[in-house]
Amino acid sequence: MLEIKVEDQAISLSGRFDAAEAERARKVFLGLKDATVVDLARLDYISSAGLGVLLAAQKHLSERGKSLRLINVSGHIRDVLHFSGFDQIFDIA
Amino acid sequence: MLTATTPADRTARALFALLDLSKALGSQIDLDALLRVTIEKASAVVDAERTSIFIFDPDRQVLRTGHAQGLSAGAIEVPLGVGIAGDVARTLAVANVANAYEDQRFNSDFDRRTGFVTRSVLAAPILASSGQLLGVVQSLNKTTAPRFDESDESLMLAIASHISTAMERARLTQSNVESERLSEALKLASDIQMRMLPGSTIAHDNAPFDLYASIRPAKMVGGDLYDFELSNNRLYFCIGDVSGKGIGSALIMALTKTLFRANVPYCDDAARLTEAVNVRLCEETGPTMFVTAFCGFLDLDDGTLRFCNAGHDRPFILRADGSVDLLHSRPGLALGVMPKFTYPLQQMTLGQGDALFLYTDGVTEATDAAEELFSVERVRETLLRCSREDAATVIANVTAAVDRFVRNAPQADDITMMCLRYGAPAFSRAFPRRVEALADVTALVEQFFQQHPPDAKTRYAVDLAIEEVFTNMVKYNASGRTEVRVSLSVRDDDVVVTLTDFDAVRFDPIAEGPDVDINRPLADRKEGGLGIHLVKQMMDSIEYSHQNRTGTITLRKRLH
Repeated sequence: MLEIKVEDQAISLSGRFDAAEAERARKVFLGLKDATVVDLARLDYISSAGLGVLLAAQKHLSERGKSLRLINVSGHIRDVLHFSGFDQIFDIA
Repeated sequence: MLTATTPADRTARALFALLDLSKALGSQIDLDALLRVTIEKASAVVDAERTSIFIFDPDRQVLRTGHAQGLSAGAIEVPLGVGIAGDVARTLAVANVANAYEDQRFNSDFDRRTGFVTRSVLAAPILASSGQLLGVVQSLNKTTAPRFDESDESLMLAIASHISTAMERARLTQSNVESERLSEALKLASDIQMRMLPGSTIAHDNAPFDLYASIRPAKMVGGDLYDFELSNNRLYFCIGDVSGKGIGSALIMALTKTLFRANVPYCDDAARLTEAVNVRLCEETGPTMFVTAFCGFLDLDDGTLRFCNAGHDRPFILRADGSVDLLHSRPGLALGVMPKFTYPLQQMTLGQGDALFLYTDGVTEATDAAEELFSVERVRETLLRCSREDAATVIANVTAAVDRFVRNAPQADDITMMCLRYGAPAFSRAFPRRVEALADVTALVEQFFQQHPPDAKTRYAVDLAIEEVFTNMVKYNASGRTEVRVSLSVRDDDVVVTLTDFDAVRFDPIAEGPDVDINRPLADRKEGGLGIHLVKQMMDSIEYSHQNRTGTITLRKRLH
């Protein structure tokens, strides 16, 4: 299960961002119009499906000169972002 | 000719009829004569009352036949889309109808004109090698059952494809008819062989064994066979080798496998089974033809193995302690030689983690350029190095060792192997082909990790790898008709995961999937390929194998 909490220019994710949840998350992320901080503190797991959504969102925002910022990234999530080269195309804290 | 008395006999009769058909197709060049002969043989193959072949006329968009059994008057002409044959011509798909009069498409004109009553219908499109419609072959009224079944559909498609080749050949001016005939016969034999074999492994939920088999035929035609079947907590398996090569051997191979399988329910043990098969085979094989075979039953409750060896190469026993020895077995006479031979039943016990490695002499007699044989010794050496691996890996290792030894020398004989390990239940379940099933897959993995607690890194990697591979299989083979099976086990200190798709064409996502360059700028980054890329980064190993429509991915990671 993935919980997506949307606030003003901030999203926080908790749970598992996997293929079963990707469709739903994609709608939310592609609806973003402004720079957004994404808090991953309570995200337990992400797979390529979740990465795909983040990538699509980042591309979408960059067309408007904006971008996502990923914060509270630790442990396994950090490893996955590194293996996929996302630490080169996302601002990660 | 055989009279049909048992299911095995009926299957054998169908195969002989299919062979007859191919011979007939091979010897006719005149299209009319060819079609006349074909419909007669085709009826024998699928047990139909009558068969017709419709030729497609693209100018007038009609199907025309002058070649229907039992029709004295002239041609029937049917517009495209009319009737079941017309529908098959339009959709280019097989039609298998149990009751014609209950099918919307059925056109009863022909029945009305002739007094014939159509009941069951089986029709297949005849397609040119370019994919274009050449015609339709249609069989009516299965004589031995209320309707045509799935194996009839399969045979019908084979018939259609052979008709297509023959038609194309008949329409061209050929100077090289002889080699066409030969290659057609070989192709048929290869079809027979591949249709007869089960996949490389068996679908089971948490049963205590690990089984993998593989066959690599020499050129197109072979005489090697293997089979296995699980029922009532007893695993039946056999491996065999028909003497000689060519279409005759392929047919005997098919017959042998069918005879074994058909007699399994009626025979108490492996020796009685072997005797039953031997008696029938003696009737079919000529004086110079014989079959070596090893068959057995493994009792999954206690590991008791009851087996019978009919002149076949002695298998190896791979013990859980790592030792590798040839199985003590009295060789026994090959099948097809002496009909009254009494075969001895032998017995032994497999302990948890023990495995049986069976093979044909294509392995031990594989030859390198210097004419040296791979030999039993090299098999043993190879097995010693990998005896504790899972069945698929053991086989992959021996195959690789043979390949390295032989190098470029041509493969003279079929290379067939089977590995069967008796052991603690693996966590194994089949899942429907839907992304929504992922939650249940995760639950299975959860259960497994409760039994075998892993490092956090391993847990994440395995979770991810399974999700990526599973969603890949589901997404890229959505039309597969079977479920997808996920199995987890611990081998030494490794978590071993296999994901098996039982209905897939060969596609190796590791070798053939898209490349991912993680250093490209944002605009160039794509979503595709990321999953497999991550799996490669995070798992210790990932391997793909494919056989007979069964594709398997094996993943490994150290538990701690």
